[in-house]
Amino acid sequence: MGLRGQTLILTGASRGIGRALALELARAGAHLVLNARNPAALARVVEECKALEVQVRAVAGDASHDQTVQFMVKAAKVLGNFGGFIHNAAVLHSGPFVTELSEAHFEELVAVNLRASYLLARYAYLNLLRSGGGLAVFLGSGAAELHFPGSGVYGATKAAEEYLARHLALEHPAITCFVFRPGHVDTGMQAHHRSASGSGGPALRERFGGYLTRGELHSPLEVARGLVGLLLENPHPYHGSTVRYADIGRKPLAKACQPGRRIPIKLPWPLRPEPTRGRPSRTATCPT
Amino acid sequence: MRLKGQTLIITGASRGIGKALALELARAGAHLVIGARNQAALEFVRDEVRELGVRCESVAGSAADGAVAKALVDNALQIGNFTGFIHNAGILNAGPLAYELIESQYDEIMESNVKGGYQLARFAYPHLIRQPGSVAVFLGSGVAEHNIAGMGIYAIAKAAEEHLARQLAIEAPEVTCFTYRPGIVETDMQRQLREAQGGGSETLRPLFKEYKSQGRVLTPEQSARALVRILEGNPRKFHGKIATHTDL
Repeated sequence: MGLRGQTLILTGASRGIGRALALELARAGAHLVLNARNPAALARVVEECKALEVQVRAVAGDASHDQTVQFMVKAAKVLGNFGGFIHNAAVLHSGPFVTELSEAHFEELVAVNLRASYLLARYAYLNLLRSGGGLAVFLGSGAAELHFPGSGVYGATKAAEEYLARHLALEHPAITCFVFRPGHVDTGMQAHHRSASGSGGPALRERFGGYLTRGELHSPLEVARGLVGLLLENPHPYHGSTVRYADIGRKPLAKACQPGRRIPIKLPWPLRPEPTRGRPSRTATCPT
Repeated sequence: MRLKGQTLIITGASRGIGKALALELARAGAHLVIGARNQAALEFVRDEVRELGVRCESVAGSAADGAVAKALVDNALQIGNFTGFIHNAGILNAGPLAYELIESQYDEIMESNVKGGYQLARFAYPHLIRQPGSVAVFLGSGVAEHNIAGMGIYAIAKAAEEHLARQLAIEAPEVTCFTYRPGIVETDMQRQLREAQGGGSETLRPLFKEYKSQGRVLTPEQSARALVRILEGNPRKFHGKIATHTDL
């Protein structure tokens, strides 16, 4: 898809992967609405992107607040050619077991990782559907499937966020929606894991310290280039799927959607009679 | 596990599966602390339970509220022999597509299913880890794996809740913790699905009517009895896993 002249919303844009993504998207010619909670850090990224000769608007604030997301969508419509969003903002709170995690930290995890995802869909989807299509990318994590003691609520929010992405893909075939898992990236979040406290702290510090000392961390720039490369190519085949950065260029990515292909819809409780083997009873067709 | 003389907390006990669970557990001789938001309906169930000859206290309010979760646990400690909880409360709000759902309904779903489970665990676990044979049960759902239009936010809440249950099983192996998926049960939730409004209604209405016409719908008593039998048997075999009404 061409990114030039499109307007994209990006959350968590003040640092780490978000900042790198903002710069890569700007280099590809996309206009941007950038969001983060830290206005000063966000303003610096806005200036860096503007130097790349694209239009940029900053909406500082918590993406789990209704109004912040409403402002983002309004700003994107003002810039014009609103093409979609990338939800990159997330919090971690590594270390405490579920039963040790403070209520404030629980709330923040559920708000930033999950509620913000829902709000972006809530306010952006209607606009994107009206214009016939668009893009929705959610930054996922292996933690959605794993259970490291000390990062359980983070894992639960990521499991739910990734599931929301698959659900949106099911409900709206016209809006290309997928999960991008960046892997272990040299950001503040990794540093937070390496200084984890609480009952899960020692094991987490050892595990994540190992990624650093063994030189296994990706740079934010590499990862951002990986995602923007996918977007520039044609992201639609990954609609409804989870793309891992480490798989890009190394092995064929799972393409969930090919034009005209029929995909079986699995029901939460099967109906009787069971569908004939190999012939699913209900299917959806990928859009062309 | 022997239920007689043990004290258990049940949330969402004013109706449906929760009410049936309360009565079934009371028949098995368990003392209960029951919670739900609707105080009048809850007290009616409390009186019915007491008539079965066990102790029962009620705490009205959402378990997502820390004060309510703490009161549930404090009441259970006061009765004594506090052995576990069943987090059954959960709001569905079926019908609207994910982006159509209004914020207050989104918040209700997340708070009842996910935050309620976290709050109960937070207040109960410090006691349960010292109580031999203690249990923590979270009501899950088939939609946590395979989703359908119009149930999106409920489904992601159930996925998060089931994830939390597995996490607790790993972090605190002293407490037997598992997810119970009750099946398709004839409750207010089922009626909501068969009469759904919004963008998901075209999918939900015929599907749930078909489940009913195919005789796939259980009574709350059937589903509750299956969970009580699992608890009376060897619940440990489900630790960190998912039990269903057919796992007997």
